[in-house]
Amino acid sequence: MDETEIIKAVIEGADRYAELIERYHVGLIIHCEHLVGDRDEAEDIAQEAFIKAYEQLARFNPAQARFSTWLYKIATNAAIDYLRKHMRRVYAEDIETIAAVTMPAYLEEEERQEVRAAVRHLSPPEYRHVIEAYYWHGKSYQQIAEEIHVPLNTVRTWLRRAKLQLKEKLS
Amino acid sequence: MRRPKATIEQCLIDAGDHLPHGNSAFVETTMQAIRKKQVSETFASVLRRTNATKKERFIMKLKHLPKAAIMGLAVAGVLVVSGSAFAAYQLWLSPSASLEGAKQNQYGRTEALVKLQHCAQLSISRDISAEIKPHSGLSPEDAAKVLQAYCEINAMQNWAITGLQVHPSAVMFPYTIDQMSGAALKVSAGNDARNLPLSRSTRYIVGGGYADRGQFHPGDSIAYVANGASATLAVIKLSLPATYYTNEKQNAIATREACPGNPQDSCLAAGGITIFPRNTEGMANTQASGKHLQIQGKLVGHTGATFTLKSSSGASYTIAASSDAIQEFNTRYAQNYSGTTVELGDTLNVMYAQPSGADPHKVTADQINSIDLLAEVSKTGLINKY
Repeated sequence: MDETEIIKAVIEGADRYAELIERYHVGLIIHCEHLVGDRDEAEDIAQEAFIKAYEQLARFNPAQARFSTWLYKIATNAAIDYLRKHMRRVYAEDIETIAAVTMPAYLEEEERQEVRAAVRHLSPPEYRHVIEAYYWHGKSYQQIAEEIHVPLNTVRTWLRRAKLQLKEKLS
Repeated sequence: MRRPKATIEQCLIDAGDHLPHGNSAFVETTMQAIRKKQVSETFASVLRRTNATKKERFIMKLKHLPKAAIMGLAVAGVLVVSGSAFAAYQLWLSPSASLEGAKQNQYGRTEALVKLQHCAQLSISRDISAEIKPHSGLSPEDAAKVLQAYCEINAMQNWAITGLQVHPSAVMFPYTIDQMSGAALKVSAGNDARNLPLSRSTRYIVGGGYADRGQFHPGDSIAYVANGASATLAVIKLSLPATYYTNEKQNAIATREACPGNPQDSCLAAGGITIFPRNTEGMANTQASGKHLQIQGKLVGHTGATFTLKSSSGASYTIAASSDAIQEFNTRYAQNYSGTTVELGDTLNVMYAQPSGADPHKVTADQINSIDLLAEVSKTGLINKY
């Protein structure tokens, strides 16, 4: 289903907003985690962003930006507010740089297939498992560690190495 | 093949956005939060309009009536909710706004003092100060009408939630009736022409109460509530010409309210360009603790890292940053904002925190959260300073 149609239907009163949450929540939580460094807080901020976007959906102009870009900006602002409230140093330029790493990219379907194929061919297979669990299934480092019975730091290490391997494969 | 600018994280996230996986518990709890919020907003709106004691008393009186009388009331109730008897039904109090006065404020702008009644469903009246944006062409009388339209929009949207159980964004406005026929209403707003299907269940509202279809005529300004393209739930006659409900007019005024923590001064509810924090080079930090405050004022002095603001009450506030934030913005970042620089006479907004016992008119580097230049960015990217 085309995203613009879903948005239009929601604005007109249809109960279909969950379709947009389903599509974007995993990436948005990762984006927020990347900004605030805490999974639980990231989920709260992502939820806040979805609620705010829902409330302001009528003001969203699809001619100006994609929904996900708009949503991620709302979340980025919420993350900055969170950091300020919690007395952390926040510098707009830094945040913009950090946020850019996980902002939506809009790949072509062919490119997505290429990324998925590269993930399938990661070696050892644990690398594939942690990448899929974290980036596609929306699991936290802690959940992954508990599921496969390895220390949390091992999950972090595997993810880091997997990403290096992917970088090589996709460059 | 991959776009050079996309990071590995971006690629992985994008490749995952289109897969049928994810955290279903998160999706469910977020939807629950949205629904809960809608219900609580609806409930709050109903509470605002209903005096609980009166309601209880009314029900108690009913309990003591003879059965025949109760039946009679029930029949009357059925009659009331059918046909033209709807006219007796008030859905919201019609907001009104009257201009109490106008003045040129110290920023050289026209400020309209408006008395609002029945705004946001409140039966009490309140005075509000609205600053008219330069180049908007609005008169103070127009500003009052824009505020009345704003209150009416709120009233319609509240009713859409409580009365029709739809999202407030289902209220579409403003449109002008071009033609009325048996089964449809032709309306337009500029180039946007629409054909609204009418049915027996479509409700007609004038002055916040149910009305007859016969009270609508070509040329009337209306709002309508639609549930998809197939059904028009309600057609609402607007009390003012359509122009006052447009985004352009609604954005042409900015309200002034007491500054948080500095009630003797007024702060404009307007956007701005952040001049601090911008980078990490010796700037004041945001670890300020204490009571969170806001002050706005005209920049009347600037020497190195220290600058002085004159607030709306005429008080002076000295802001001592750890480096020359204004100079740094002007030389390094102004180019990103069409060359807009911060100059003496500009209005700055300072968010800060202050521990108890500190000098209320001095803000030190470690207390500053952010400093903004009050400005609005037009659709064409043009920046107008306030």
